[in-house]
Amino acid sequence: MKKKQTIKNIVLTLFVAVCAVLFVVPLWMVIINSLKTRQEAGLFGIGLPTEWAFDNYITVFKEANIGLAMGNGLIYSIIVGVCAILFASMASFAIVRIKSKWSEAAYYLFLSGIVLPGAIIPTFFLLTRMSLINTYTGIIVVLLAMTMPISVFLYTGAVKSIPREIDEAGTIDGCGKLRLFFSLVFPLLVPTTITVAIFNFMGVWNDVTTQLYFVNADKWTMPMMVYRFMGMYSSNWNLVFADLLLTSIPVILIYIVGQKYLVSGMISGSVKG
Amino acid sequence: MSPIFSAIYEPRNGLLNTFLRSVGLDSLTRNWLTDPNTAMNCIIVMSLWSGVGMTMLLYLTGMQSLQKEYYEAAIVDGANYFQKLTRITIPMIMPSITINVVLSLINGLKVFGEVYALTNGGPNNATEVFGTLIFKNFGKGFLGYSAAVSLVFTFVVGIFVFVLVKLMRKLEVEL
Repeated sequence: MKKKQTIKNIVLTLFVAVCAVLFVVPLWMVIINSLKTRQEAGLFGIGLPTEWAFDNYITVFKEANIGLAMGNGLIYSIIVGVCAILFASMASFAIVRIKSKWSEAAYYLFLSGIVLPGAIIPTFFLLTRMSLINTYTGIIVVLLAMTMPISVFLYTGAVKSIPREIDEAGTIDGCGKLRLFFSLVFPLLVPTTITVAIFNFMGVWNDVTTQLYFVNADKWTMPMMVYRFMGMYSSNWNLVFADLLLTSIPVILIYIVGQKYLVSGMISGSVKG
Repeated sequence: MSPIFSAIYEPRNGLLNTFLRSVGLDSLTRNWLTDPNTAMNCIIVMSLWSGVGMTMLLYLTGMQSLQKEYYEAAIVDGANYFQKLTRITIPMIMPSITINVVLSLINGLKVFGEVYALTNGGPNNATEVFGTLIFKNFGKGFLGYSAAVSLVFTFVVGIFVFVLVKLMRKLEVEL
């Protein structure tokens, strides 16, 4: 009985290990090939490079406009992140606390934003009419509209778990509505805020559709730049891989830092929502 | 992360073909992305690779919140592994399953970046999805047609998700 158990465990462990290796191989290929010379990277081997070529990264920095792309990405993700946190938390506070059919309708309106795809053409015309096409403001507004639904969804779940007594205590002590929200409710929402921030950062950072439609190349962020770079340097796979790795570093960092909050926020939002 | 996969599927030296050659399956090597029969499967594998992590995370948290007592009770009642799986684990993580199924369906229907980068609608329209169809017509200047496609797209997604959520909610157990 005991022996059977251990054999079973070994088989299971092996199976999991094989699956894990299958998942890691592509990543490993990127990392290792980004350090090879051009000829060697063209073979896509997964062995160690015979000649370490760290200057790939320097070349990429010079050629691929990384500075501009990273700057754009940071501008979008920070502004969108802050605005989404501010607006979504206030909106969901109102949605939860005001009991009327309008607030319910507003909630379902936001929810439908998660499910339904964005309408590209009307947005395009709207932005053109407002002369916001190909501007930072324009793309930030569109990205904000894209990130709001999931933010509101997560915040609503969190606000529901805050007891109403806290609001009442605040009102008795003479808090105004704004003061009540910012000094009593918002501090309690910090874990959800972190989740929302990570979600929005990753969403905005990885987004390609919006940029493709609404702005020109000088306002693109890193994923779009990688596509363009790949078109320009398709025979220099070492440079493409280096660019790719640089693109994913911020996301990976943020993910490692915030992983704990990400999951807990997701669960509390989705279960109570 | 599509460039990684265009490197893997690369016909001459790509990882997949190299692997197949090295284990002696030369007959299976092909131009993965330009062959209409395989292009879609290639994209599916890639989406799977990038999507599985998040899905697994959700299942993991769902399972971590299960209580040990249920399993102890089941063992006392003489349940075997399979019964424990079907009678306790799956019903208890049904909410996670619902979320995962719905999210995967939405992401699958809305896929654009991957297809755009790998095949852009691909050989002979074999990998055409709503996203690339809208983008192509937008690029050609057929704005009305492309708006119509996105409206149909909206309805399709809406109907699918609505029906699916209704069905999945029925499967969940009340505690």
